[in-house]
Amino acid sequence: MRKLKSAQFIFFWIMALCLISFSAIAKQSVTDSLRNELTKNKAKDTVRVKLLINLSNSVVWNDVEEALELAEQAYEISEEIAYQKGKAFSLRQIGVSYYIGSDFLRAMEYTQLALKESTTLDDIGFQSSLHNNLGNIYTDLKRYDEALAAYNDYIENSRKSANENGIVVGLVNRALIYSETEQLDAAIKDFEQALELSESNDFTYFTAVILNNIGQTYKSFGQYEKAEPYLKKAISKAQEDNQLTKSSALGNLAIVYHSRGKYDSALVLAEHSLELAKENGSLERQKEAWNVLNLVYDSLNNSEESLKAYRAYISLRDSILGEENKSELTRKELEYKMELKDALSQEEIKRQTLIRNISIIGSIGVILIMGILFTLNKKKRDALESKREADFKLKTAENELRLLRAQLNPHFIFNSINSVTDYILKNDTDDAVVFLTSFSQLMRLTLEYSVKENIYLEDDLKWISLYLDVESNRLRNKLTYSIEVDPSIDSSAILVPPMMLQPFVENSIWHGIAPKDGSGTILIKVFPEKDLLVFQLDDDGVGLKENTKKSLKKEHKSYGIELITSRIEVMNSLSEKKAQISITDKKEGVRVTIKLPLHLAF
Amino acid sequence: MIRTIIIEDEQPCMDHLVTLLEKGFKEEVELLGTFSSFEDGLEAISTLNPELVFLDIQLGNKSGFDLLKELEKIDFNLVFTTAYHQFAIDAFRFSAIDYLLKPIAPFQLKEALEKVQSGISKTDRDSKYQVLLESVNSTDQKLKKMVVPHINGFRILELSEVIRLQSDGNYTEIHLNNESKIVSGKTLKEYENRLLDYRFFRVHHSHLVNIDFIKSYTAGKGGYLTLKDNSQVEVSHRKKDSLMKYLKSSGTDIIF
Repeated sequence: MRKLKSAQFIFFWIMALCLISFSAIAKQSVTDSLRNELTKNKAKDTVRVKLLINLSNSVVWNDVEEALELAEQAYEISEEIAYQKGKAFSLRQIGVSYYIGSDFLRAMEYTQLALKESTTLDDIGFQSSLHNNLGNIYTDLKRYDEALAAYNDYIENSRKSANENGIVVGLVNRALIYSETEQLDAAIKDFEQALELSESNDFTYFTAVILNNIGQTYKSFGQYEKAEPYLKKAISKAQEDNQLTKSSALGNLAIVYHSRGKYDSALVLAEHSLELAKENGSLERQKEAWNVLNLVYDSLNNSEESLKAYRAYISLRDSILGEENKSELTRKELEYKMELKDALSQEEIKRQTLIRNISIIGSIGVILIMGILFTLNKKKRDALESKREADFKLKTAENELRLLRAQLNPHFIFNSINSVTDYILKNDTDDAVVFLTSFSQLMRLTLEYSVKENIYLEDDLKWISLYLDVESNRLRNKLTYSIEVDPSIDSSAILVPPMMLQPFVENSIWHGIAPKDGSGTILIKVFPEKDLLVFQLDDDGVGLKENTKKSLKKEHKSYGIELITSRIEVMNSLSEKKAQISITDKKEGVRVTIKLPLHLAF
Repeated sequence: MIRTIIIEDEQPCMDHLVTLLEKGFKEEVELLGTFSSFEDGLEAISTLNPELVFLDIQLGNKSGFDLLKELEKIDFNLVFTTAYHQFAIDAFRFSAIDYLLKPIAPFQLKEALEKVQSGISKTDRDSKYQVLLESVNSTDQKLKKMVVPHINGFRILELSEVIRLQSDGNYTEIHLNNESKIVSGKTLKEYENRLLDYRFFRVHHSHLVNIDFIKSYTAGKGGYLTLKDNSQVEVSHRKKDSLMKYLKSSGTDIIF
């Protein structure tokens, strides 16, 4: 309900407030005439810069992408012709576009840049409008203290420059923060002050908005008696050009009536509110209106209509939620990072000990073969060692550990030890040494990579081929493999989560090729597909049907696959692009396809 | 014949190394003795005067580095052996000193011995050991120097004199704050791995930058950094956000 924010974004070289007051058709005509002007004026001059910014401003609510592009063009031209004012104003516009696209961090970055550029302009009004914009961004990030500070700056600057309009906007924005942080008295005080100013200056648009905001604030604190007169006044004050406020005030009043059991009057108001919202095309407003209708119908025991309204409310809510979620996410992310810092040092020590323990298992095994018992002493040193290594900069613990365990699973370690034992018994010590060397290299890399969130694709592929070498060695070279990377891929510039393929490769080897008569082949292909990176793993083993019959060994391998599946789920919850896995049975063997979001490093 | 001793407190590792030397390098190496404690090793160095010492990182509750500190001068070649001590491995990489990972593979031992036979002058050796000890001693793991091999040997650089590194295929140009540059035969990725924790940031496929030398950032589509030597380095589109975050979190005084 901070509709005033949009007002602030409009202060520019053309008339202020055009955006709010125009119906869709009117807005369209402004946009069209700006476009015409632009085609006429091809010269890279200050006129074009202004046109670009104004056009960006007029399309920003319908097409953020285009608005951003226009503002960036304006910036580039300003830079080319050394037009300082244009640079500052286009930076602000880029910030606004990002803000409307809900990319709050970038919005902040560009608004700050605009602030920096504005220092050379000597334009107090412009400079302080940036403070207001920053306040809006902070509000959306729910960083209220910083938002308050920004609004305070803005109000103060507006007072200094006698910008009544700015004072009103700043006061209302500040009041909305007080309202959200449940400081009723402070909110009302600001609102009343803004109302007085707005009325004495004949800001009819603002006056209606403020009245509705006061009513809504009282309503949200459950003070319906106080809310009513303000809402009624807001409805009468809201002009033809301000249907959003009218719709909102009608909805608020409907709730006030509803709270008193006047359901029939509430229904009339709620329906009117919805009608206006539809005319205006604001999804947010329509959602709220449906919500009120649902409430009213429910009280009237009209379950059919109530359900209809509820469904409409939910479907609109979901389409809007994307945006709300984004800012929630950004905030969560910031909080999480702060908490992470505290948790890291503690987790670190736990993690280190566990890594130690796992590597102790490995090394104990290997040394056993060499016929050495190697116990307490070793543990003592590992303790010393882990203390010394505790300074290491590593990331979160839990996931890595699960991953690490899966990769270094005991089966793999002990099977490898068996292989070495076998070599030694067959008196083939040179082979045993070669095997052990690559095995320990694999262990080292595994420890190194498993603590990283992403590694370069080339490192990941090297790791996989080392893993395949070790396994193929154990299978007495019954296994051949090849890895083909599409020439369009630069594997030194693509990032992937480490060792995603391992459980599937392991499956192909031990459940596809090992049980097969004769030798087998594994072919790994890596290629791009739109904005995805595809790993395609083919084996010519016995296939799925065959090895489910022999599923005695299934436990540990399915754990590895389960783990990858859950990693993919986590990735999908964080990104728009969808990662996916499919496993299909072929005529001969199995094909596994893993698609990950293509993550370019640079 | 290289006069050699081994200092190693784990019998199996010792046996393994002795076997490898006797099997593959009987002609090149004369093994004077093997020592399994810190004190014995120290004494052996001064009495036997070896040309080559294989030294284990972990010796009871002391380390091979402690042993180096005890020595007044180091007039022999050193090859460290270690199983998995990441902090030590980092230190070796920074000081470009040879080390062998256990279990030692015959071909790696061969390479190490070839380097010893090719001979390195004594002054170089000393300065490398100095870098090594400095990096091990600094409690906060802040390695202040690194050894950079180049065509005519190597140079010891303080990290604080490195402005930026630029990839040139398999080579890397290292630009210093006295306006000179060194070309090193290691890839930019290797330097990235090494310098990641020391206020260096990979801003682009071809650029690694010391963040303490950043003067300003210019936004826009092809955003770039201006460094204190007035060179301009492109920041790739995808690295921009993480660079900003990194700069904020590392307390630089750049205002964006």
